[in-house]
Amino acid sequence: MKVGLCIPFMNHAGVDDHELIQGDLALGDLAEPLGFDSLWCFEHHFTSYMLSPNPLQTLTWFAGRTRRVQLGTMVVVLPWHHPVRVAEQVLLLDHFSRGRTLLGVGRGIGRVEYEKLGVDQSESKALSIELIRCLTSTLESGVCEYDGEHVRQPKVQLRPRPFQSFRDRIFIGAGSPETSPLCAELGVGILVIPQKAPEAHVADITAYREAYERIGARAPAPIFQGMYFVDEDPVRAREEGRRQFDLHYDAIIDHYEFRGNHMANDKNNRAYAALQRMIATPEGEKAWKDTLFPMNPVGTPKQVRDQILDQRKWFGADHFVGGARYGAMSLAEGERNLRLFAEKVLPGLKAE
Amino acid sequence: MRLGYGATFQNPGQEITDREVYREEIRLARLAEPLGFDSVWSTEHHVTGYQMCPDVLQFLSYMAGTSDTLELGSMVVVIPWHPNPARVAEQIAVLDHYCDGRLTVGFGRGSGRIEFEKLGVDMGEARDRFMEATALIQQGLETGECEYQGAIFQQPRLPIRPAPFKSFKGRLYAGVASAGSIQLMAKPGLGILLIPQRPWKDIRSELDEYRALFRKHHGREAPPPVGVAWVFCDEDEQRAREEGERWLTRYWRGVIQHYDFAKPENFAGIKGYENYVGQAQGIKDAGVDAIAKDFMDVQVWGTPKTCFEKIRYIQQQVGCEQFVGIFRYADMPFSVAERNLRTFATTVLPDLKKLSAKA
Repeated sequence: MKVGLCIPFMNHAGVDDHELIQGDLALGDLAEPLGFDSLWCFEHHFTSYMLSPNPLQTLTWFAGRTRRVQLGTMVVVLPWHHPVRVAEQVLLLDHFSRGRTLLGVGRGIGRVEYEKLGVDQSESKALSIELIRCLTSTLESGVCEYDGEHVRQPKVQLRPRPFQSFRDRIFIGAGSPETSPLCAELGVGILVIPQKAPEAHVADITAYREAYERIGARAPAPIFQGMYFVDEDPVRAREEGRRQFDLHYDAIIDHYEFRGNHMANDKNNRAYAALQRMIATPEGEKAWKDTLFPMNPVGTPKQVRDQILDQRKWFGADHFVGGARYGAMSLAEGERNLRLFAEKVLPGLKAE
Repeated sequence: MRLGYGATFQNPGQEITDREVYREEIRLARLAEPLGFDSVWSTEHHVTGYQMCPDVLQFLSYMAGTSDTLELGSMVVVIPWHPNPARVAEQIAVLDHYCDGRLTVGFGRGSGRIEFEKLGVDMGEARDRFMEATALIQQGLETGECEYQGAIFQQPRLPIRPAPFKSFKGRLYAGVASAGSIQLMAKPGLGILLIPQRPWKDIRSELDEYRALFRKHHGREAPPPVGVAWVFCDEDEQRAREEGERWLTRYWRGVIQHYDFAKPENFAGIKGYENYVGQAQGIKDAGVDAIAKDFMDVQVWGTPKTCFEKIRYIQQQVGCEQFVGIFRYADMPFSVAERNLRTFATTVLPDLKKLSAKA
């Protein structure tokens, strides 16, 4: 299987942004020499959660420093982009990287981001479906043209033109089973980014495969992501790993505003409102964290490898993307985590 | 004086594929620093083969990835074409982190009608969009938060993350081509990036006026202008003239065509482009060939000695401390461009670097 490294630029520890960025860039530089197959970035704006507002730009920076690794987004949040500009940026990355682009796209659910970017979140679903349709056809033909409810783009030939197909290189961030028919229709793959219990993700993937089967096609193998914590000492792995993930989930709670009840009556955020109710008590918060925790490989190298291979089996995936530094983790701890993973876990995964 | 290399990504004739243009442009741009250049620059253009760099900050991010010392500049980011200026501020902040503060950002207003049309931006709003967006971005980069109430842009308070870590004072420029625009950049506090279409000496008095206004508004000296010119350098005088004329003329014809500069009606009635109507009439009356000669007169071509003299002259006229040369344009074969670049780098650049900054 293929194994990638994702660089989230998370600053929940609240260190200086420049220091955080330089540290994470240095970790990204290790991807190729340590033997990873791919390097991935996220898109987030305006908070300490992830200092990564333009993943295509960040990957272009890495394109100038690497020769081999594939460069992927997880994800470009389409409703936050202009259809022509985002297509141009993808095409540029593909030219700069000589065809190493992997494009994950998605809808995003950060209220703070929708609000400050001036995009109506109540239309995010319809908007993202139109933008995905528009983008997949644009990247294939080099011509951007769309006449939808939300997206209206007169025909325009983009330059530089695409030089190779994006077939098998586009993935939708899997948030719900509803996206499955769209994946099958557009012939795009699926990215599993942990945000719920493993069984719920398995249900999404089952729906995805069935949608492909209905049109008589074979679904591309999913790509799955997870942050990991690996340590030779199983006690330290369990205790420090849990502590790091608790901080990581706190960062998520902060960014997505899961505390409070201001979304109780927000029909665009029903799932949010439910989460807010759940984590309103310390017990509820712990229960939520306990639900997510199994999605993250934690333990000794062998435990981590086994956990990733288990997930691979559940999801039928062939590409795992792991993050080594997240939440409030120090650079030193992140680098230790990454190097140990690369030394003791990566070879076993690649041999599978 | 410091030296910059400007990449244009031109493919007007489509004699080769866009992919080949990209591979070769990248190869030459990566040669610049080893050959002695201090900086790499490029320009935003969309949807035609005229110039194919639709996201100049992304190109500069690529170049930043290749070197720990190379300086980077945009000449220009065409800011009216961007739907959300705060996004541009984010891109600038990101790149500045990646390149450790070695970034200069030039903004421009744009005059390619086809680009305004295809990107769905009203060209008549361009000047206002330019002024508002540059103010919004400047404030965002200095304070770490964008907040702006203008006629066109209303930006509620928004933090830029990663937060800018180094002041952009003296690093934000405006690309200026048309007469009468230089002075307008004093109040917003922008430096001047001179992209020449008229005699260098004509610019001198406008610059004096700009500098005085800048001092008045900001109580400090304006940043030194950056001079840009198209270069053709060859040891052989005759070849320098013939080849220089061939490629500069073709380039200039491409400019006239892309911008529809020979059609006054193209600019008639568009707010902010009143000057262009007369200019276009002039081009129409004089004929493209005569205008191409005027263009050649302000560019840098000839033997190494002539090129050196011309750049020194430019420096004397406008007081630039940095000169950006463009070595590949129109459909110039990359072998020709590379010879041009290497000749310049070995025979002209070392002497230019010794020139003191003061004119």
